[in-house]
Amino acid sequence: MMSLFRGLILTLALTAGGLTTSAHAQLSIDITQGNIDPTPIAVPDFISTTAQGQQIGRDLAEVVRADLERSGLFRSLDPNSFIEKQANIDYAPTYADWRVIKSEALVSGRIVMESDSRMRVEFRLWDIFGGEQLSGLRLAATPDNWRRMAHKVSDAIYSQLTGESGYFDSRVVFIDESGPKTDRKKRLAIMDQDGANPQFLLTGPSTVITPRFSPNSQKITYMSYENVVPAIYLLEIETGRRELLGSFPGMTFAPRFSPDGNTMVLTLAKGGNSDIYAMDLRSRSTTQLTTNPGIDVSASYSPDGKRIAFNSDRGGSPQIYTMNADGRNTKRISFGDGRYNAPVWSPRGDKIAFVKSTGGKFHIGVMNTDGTGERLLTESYLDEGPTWSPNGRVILFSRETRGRSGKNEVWSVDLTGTNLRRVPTPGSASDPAWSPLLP
Amino acid sequence: MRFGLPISIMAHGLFLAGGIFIFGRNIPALDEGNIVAVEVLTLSEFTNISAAVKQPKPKDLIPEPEEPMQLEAPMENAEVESDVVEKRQEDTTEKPPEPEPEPIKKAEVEEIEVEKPKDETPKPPEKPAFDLDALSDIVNRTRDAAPEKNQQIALQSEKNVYEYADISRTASGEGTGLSVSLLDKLQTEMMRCWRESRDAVDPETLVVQFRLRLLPDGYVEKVELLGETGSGPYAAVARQRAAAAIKKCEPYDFLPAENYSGWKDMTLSFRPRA
Repeated sequence: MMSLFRGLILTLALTAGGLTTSAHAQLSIDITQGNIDPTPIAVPDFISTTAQGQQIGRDLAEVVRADLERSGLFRSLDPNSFIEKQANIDYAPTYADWRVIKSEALVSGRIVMESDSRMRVEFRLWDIFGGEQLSGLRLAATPDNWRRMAHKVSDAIYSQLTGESGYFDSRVVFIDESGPKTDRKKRLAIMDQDGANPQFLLTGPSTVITPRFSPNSQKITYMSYENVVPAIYLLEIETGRRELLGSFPGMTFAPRFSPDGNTMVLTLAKGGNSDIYAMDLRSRSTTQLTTNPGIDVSASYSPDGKRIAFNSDRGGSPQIYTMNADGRNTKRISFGDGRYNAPVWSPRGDKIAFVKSTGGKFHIGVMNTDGTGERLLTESYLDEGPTWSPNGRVILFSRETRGRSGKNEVWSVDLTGTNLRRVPTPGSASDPAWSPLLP
Repeated sequence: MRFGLPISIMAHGLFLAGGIFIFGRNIPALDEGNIVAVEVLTLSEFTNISAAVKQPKPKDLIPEPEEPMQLEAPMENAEVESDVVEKRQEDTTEKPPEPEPEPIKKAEVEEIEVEKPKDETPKPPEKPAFDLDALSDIVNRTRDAAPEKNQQIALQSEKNVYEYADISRTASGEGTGLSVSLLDKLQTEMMRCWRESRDAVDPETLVVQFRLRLLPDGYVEKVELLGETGSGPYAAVARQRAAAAIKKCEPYDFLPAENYSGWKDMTLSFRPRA
């Protein structure tokens, strides 16, 4: 009797529970892992009503496809696979046609030739599965500026689909090298970030090394061996105006700018000891930041200007340290095996890139600003001189090949370490310095 | 014969005792078998079918005589198709207002936001008011699951929603939720469709939660943003990717129709890893 009673209560409870579940139940699912493959994106040639516009539309779309593909975050789909051929970009595309080819985003654009010297580029970015327009932009410029417009389109797409700013409309200053290793000529040159439009910045045979870009203007500093004593120059790229900042015996690297562009940090050897100094560019006064008997070099500001990462052998071997911008509160942040050099703070602020040599190999690596999360992104005979993209996601560096005929090349790697590519340069090239986004 | 019974009992007893004495030693011991590992599985990993609940048959329920389905008009005279086509043609001829060109201010490159065009084509293909194929599919699936409950599914074609009689949901064989393997399946499908925000700064802070209501055929009926933890451009992208994942996984026809009440209304939380 008792068991029958218990059974009845249980049945009633289950029935009641079941009814409640049926009326209000809501399944709750946590999705903690997703797809990280490159996003498939369709970029058809930009349409135009004129022959000149059509040619620019084809070239421009090709540059956009290459930009996105090179980032490693996108997979540009083959235009031959496109089912829909849009004749007007002012209408929503046929989403089903783009879903069939597994495209997740579509860029539809057009070129409007307003005159011989003026054209307009318009484009819309569509979310194929969300079924909506994500962004639309119109750019105007002279036709010969079509490459920059292509990079601006790429930046807008990249920004919209990743949430971070792009880096395509930017340039890279580098050292063009020619001649044998024993008598190598080094000339300052500049190119687009994709290797297009390379040109020399300086005429003459002077030997130049370690150019550094200002983070907020088109100015660079570099070190020149025109005379016996190395000298630091400040060069305005747009105007070609050059200014001597000073001659500093024993200096091996050019200074780096502070985020506001008004201060530089540099290493000066005084009394046989190398220490880090800050130089105010307006007053040219210097302030000593380190006083340690070790060799302190390669200082680099954090993007907020409050901290400085630098390299020092005060602990017995070259390691990475950080300190406040006024030189106080020094902390060692690298503790791994090997020798650490050339720390560069990311423009995003979350990472520090460095060069590490261990086991006869050189690596470009990144770590968090407190030294945790160290990851080596590359490995080769000689990798050096890391420089960040404006958005802090890609690193350019020099790679030297082994042997007497070995030459320097510029390579890029992203934060994942999986997207390693050589940047095309006219000849042997080293010491890249990435500009901020162009205005 | 007064002693017949005792003699018989004694004889039987002796016979048995002798038998045990003689054969008892020769009985071989049982071989020790190999120990077989037994894994205890919970039934809920594979099924969620609850025990049958007997429903008293209502006395006054008189089944309506089944009538053969009749078309109101011959197919060739049906106007639905032509109407749709005409409407679409009209829509596509409708031009959105041409964006007004802005005066050029800078010498080099100008950036102007282009307004959104008129979205004249609805993104998900509209379901026909009366989709015979879909209905037939549902009926077939229900037949397989609960043959006796066939007549309890009603289609309100005007509202384009399927309404199930409550009694069928609590009936015998109806699931109370999704089994673990089906939850795994759903998670796996969502993983495939969802593009994780791994490039963002602190991606683990970009949690997006959607409420998803599904139709019995697995298509999305309604998606509602319940909340998100991040802010700024990364959060906007995280939201867009989560919403796109929900659409990309459509239709959710890999979920069993007989468990519809278990998955018709769910909360999806997209939580990127650190």
